[in-house]
Amino acid sequence: MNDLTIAISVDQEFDDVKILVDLIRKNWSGHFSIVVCTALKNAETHLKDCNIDTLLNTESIPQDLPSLTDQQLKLHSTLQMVSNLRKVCHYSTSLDAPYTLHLHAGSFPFSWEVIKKMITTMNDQGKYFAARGEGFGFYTPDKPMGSFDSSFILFSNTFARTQHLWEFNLFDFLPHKVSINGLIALLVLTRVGIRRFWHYTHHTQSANWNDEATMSNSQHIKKPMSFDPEKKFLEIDSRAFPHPLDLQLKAYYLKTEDILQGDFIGKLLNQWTKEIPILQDHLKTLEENYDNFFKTKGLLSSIYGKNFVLMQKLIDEYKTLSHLKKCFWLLKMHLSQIKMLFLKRMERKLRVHRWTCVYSDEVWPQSLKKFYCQLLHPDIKNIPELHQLPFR
Amino acid sequence: MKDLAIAISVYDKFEDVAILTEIIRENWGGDYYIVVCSSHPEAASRLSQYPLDAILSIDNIPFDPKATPQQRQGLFTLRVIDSIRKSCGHCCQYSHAPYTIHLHADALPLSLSKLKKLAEEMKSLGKFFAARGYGYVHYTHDGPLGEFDDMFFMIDNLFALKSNFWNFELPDILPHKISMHGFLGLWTLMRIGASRVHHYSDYGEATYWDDKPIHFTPDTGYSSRPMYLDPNYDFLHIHTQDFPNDLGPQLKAYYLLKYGLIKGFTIQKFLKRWETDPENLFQDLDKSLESFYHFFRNKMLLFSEEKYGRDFARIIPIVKSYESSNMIGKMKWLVRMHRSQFARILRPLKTSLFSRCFNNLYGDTVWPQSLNKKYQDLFGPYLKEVREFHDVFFDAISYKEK
Repeated sequence: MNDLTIAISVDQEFDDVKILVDLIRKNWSGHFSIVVCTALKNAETHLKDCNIDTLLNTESIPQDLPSLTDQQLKLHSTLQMVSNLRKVCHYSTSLDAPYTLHLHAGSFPFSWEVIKKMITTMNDQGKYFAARGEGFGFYTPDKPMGSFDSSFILFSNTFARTQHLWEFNLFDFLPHKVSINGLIALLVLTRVGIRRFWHYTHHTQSANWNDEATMSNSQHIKKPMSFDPEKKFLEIDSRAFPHPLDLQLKAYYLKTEDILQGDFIGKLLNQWTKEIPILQDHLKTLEENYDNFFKTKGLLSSIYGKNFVLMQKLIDEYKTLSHLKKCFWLLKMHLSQIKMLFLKRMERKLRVHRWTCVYSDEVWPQSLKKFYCQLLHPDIKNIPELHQLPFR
Repeated sequence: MKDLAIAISVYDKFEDVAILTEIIRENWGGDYYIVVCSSHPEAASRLSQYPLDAILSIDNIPFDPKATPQQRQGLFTLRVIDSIRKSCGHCCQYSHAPYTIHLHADALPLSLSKLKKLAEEMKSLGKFFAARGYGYVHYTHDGPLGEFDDMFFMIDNLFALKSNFWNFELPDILPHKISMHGFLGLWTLMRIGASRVHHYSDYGEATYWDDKPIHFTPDTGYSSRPMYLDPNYDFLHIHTQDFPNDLGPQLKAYYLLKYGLIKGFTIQKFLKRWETDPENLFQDLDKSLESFYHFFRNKMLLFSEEKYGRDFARIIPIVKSYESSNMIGKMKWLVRMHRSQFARILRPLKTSLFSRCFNNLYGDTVWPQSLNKKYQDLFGPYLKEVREFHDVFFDAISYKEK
């Protein structure tokens, strides 16, 4: 019998999967089954030297078509993420381990001891599902009943099996609206129940490389990396760091947490380990450069949450513009900043919901069927589950 | 095997229960299982004379008239949801009927054949739940994933039993936020699935006594007060107390007669008392409505018809408060009403402006405050009295790890 199933959802970050597998197989003591799920068709070639137990494939939902609008992209990306999560978690419940830990590639749980303690706590407290996040009091259009991370969720397999926790249709959570984090809150409320659920930590308890809180309460901006020193959970969004900073950060945390075993980890550490003062200096200089660019234009870089790639994209965009367009760009950025900083605060202070009877994201009186027909890309209709729209 | 289970939620409208029971037992052919759930302390004794299969009472959820309006609203939602959960849960377990329909005491399915049609539709379409309402397109603070009417919904009992549909605890619905209608939107979506839900009618398809579509107002949406008739299925909801004079019971008597529902001791007594000439009745209803609209128009309150529709329960207290005031009170009333009218004119501008500006965070978010504290503030001392809230933590919690 295995001690734990690790269910990994991956888009294209196969190197992160290799780090995870080394971390679990070579640095944890115990028996673990590792299940990976991706929509990429030739994933086995990427993972051929990787000691995983099962590789699952989901149907690919197009996300890289240039014709997709932002709204379509959001819908397609949610459908893909939820499809992966559902498949890998559902499969994991059929395996012999008592619990499953779900991770997205890019999430690293460094300590098996911590997970073991969490499982003991769940057993002692009669909890069947554990997650971290903003909780049940945080409401946005895509998180209408609360928000929890879809990474680092830990659940009892027997419970999930008997409650059919991961059995649902992709339209059954209104994917045009609800995000994967919003879905976790809905699943917990309707299929687990608050009493059987353990909200084990907030994001505000995680920190950046320079010990800044990952998410502040005044500005709801999640930063591209977080490390929870208590749970030893690391999350790095590689797309937000210029190469090879993401790898250097991973190497830094692996080394600090004494995760040294494994061929892939060994190679990563050899190639990318930097002395911490040098790495921090590099990050600090980079941060200062971005800060300076935005500050000189009267803008704040903090609203981008240390997403270096996004900031660089904005700078590149600015540099290519003519003088007149630069003025428009500045105006647009200032307005967006005012909205972000001022209106958002006013929104809560003024309790706008009392003034506007309905939420601004309602589809009514349009039909949801028509709405999805317009939103889903025609290629998706090849996927049977998404072909028949269940709405009136 | 019963033909159908009928779950009725009521507080003290015991005569309405008697009429409903007689419609089913004496006017329909067939075998039906009828359950009534009430929170009234005398419900069991008052209902014992009727041919019911079970009388249930809700959990000890207090309802204190002295509580704040917000507390009363929260406690009321808990009581209604508990009643529906208990009555429908009982039916799926004990009725031996394929389906349960939930009704409030003032909700009358007037036609058995239309009711059968709904059950047949569910069967042929492979649906486990059927309801009228907005469906999953209309998002409000208390129905953030859509809404269905808590009257006239039908559920497959075997499915409900197997999926433990009615087994949940009251905190699981976040009752500080969710209404009864919002609860049905959320629960059916997540526990049944949109593809297995038969959204058989929209609110907007219902009509008044004169076949005009029911009123929609941006303030309150479609109102089920004082009445609606869903013509697709002949489902009538009539809140008789809302109507002025005796027009409510007279209108109810009109519908009973129109649909030939005349058998039964209480029905006979009711018809004898309230039967009236339909032509006069409709004239009286129109006159009554027109007199209220005239009252508002006289005072240059030009949007009252649009604002209140035919909701007598909202109109009559406003008119009465004017009529019972002295001169200064009347002036104050006029200022208040005109201010409200002016705000209403600005509303579309305000709504569109705020919809554009504030679409990232819902205004009713509690974060980063504690949800536990929110519940303590909202329900105050009453929270301790509701068993299911004992030892429930909504917020993050650190346990001492072993």
